[in-house]
Amino acid sequence: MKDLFNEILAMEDIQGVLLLSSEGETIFKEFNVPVRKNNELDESFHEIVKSFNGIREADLLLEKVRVYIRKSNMSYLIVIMGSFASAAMVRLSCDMILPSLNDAKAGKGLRQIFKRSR
Amino acid sequence: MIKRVLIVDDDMEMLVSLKDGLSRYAETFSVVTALDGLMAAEELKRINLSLVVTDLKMPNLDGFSLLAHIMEYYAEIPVLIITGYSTPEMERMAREGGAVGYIAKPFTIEDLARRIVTTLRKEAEGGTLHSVSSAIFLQLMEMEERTCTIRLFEKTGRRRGVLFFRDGELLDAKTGGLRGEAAAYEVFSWDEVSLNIQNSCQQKTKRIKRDLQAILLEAMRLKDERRQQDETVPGPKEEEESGLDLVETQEGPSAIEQLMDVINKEFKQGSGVEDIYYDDSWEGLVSGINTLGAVFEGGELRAGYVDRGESKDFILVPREKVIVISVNPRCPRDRIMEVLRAQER
Repeated sequence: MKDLFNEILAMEDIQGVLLLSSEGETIFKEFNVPVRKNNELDESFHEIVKSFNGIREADLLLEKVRVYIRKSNMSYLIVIMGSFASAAMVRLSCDMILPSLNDAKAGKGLRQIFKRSR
Repeated sequence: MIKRVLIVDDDMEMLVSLKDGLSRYAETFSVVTALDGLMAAEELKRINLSLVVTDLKMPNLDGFSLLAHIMEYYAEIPVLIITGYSTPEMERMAREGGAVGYIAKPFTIEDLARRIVTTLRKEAEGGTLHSVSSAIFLQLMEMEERTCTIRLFEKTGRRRGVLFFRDGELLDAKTGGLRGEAAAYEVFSWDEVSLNIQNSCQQKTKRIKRDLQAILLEAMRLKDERRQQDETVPGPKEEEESGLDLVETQEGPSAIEQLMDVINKEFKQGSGVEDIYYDDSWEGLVSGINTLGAVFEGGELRAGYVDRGESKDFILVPREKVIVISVNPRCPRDRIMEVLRAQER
């Protein structure tokens, strides 16, 4: 599971990677920095993912971080970056990961590919 | 530019469901809502709208009264009626009152969306022209004895106006808080305009008594007078000009113009920017992203590039309202984001 995202997680100034189902359930999460509200994450994601309606890809500049979102057939991949991260490299890595995420058929479900990380 | 549609219904669940269902058509129009006719009248004052879809039975100000209000003060805005208590008599009254369509409940989101899109298209059914002289073009309308509603946008995009023609006769004009002849003088003083022609005119009242030539001459005289004043009295003039609505013409353009200046300065050409406008239909996404930012203590959204798999991509810049820059997907995305990022520092 983590192997798939290792390349992204190893890039400079990547703060974390999240994989959420299109209903907002956490499928995978891994952070390189401490997240103070870690225990509140899962509750927030349902509403957050709902607001993504229609997004295929988004590159977001927030006050302190940059966030890259990529939609696959059944999930949203979210990469949290610091200001020194290369958004272009992250996009490229996500391009490479996307086919694997898309291959996760509805019947099998993404959960069988990724073990939930708590 | 994405058009705004106001949906008025006292059934909150219905409103939420319609707004949600119609979000699929966000590329074409955005939806604002009101729970009764009074709230709708406030929205009409506050923002530019392209269409009103209203229920008939509502508290405070019912659908028929709202329709009459729109025909009196906003005759350029078409009205679609939706109702659960449809009778031929009601339908006849709605049409006689000026409604362009009547939809009986139950209906599907797709039915409503189709009616909305068809109605919105009529706004420019007679054609769209760019960089034309309003005076020359409008004399043609008179000569051809056209019946039409013409929406004009001054070349800077800061001001817009509406003219109503019936059989070549100029009935009324609107721009900012102005109506009638005062509005016509203002509109005819604009050097270059873009305009949409709608081949119908719902305006009944004739507010302009003078003929078109007299109006044009007076507009030119006032324009010259204003120019002379500008030359002798230095200082900012922009605030004195009457805007169509306070939101878009006074506060709005400065933020939009600043952004355009930054992009134009940086890219000269080839930025891929197609349009720039306010659009509150993106507020849900901005709010979701801000929630995500709060979770990671990353702060609020400053700028975002969004691809929805459509023919255009979108750059969101939240200010007091969300500014949307629609761009060609082949635009220099990273460079634009870098420019916006530098702006935020």
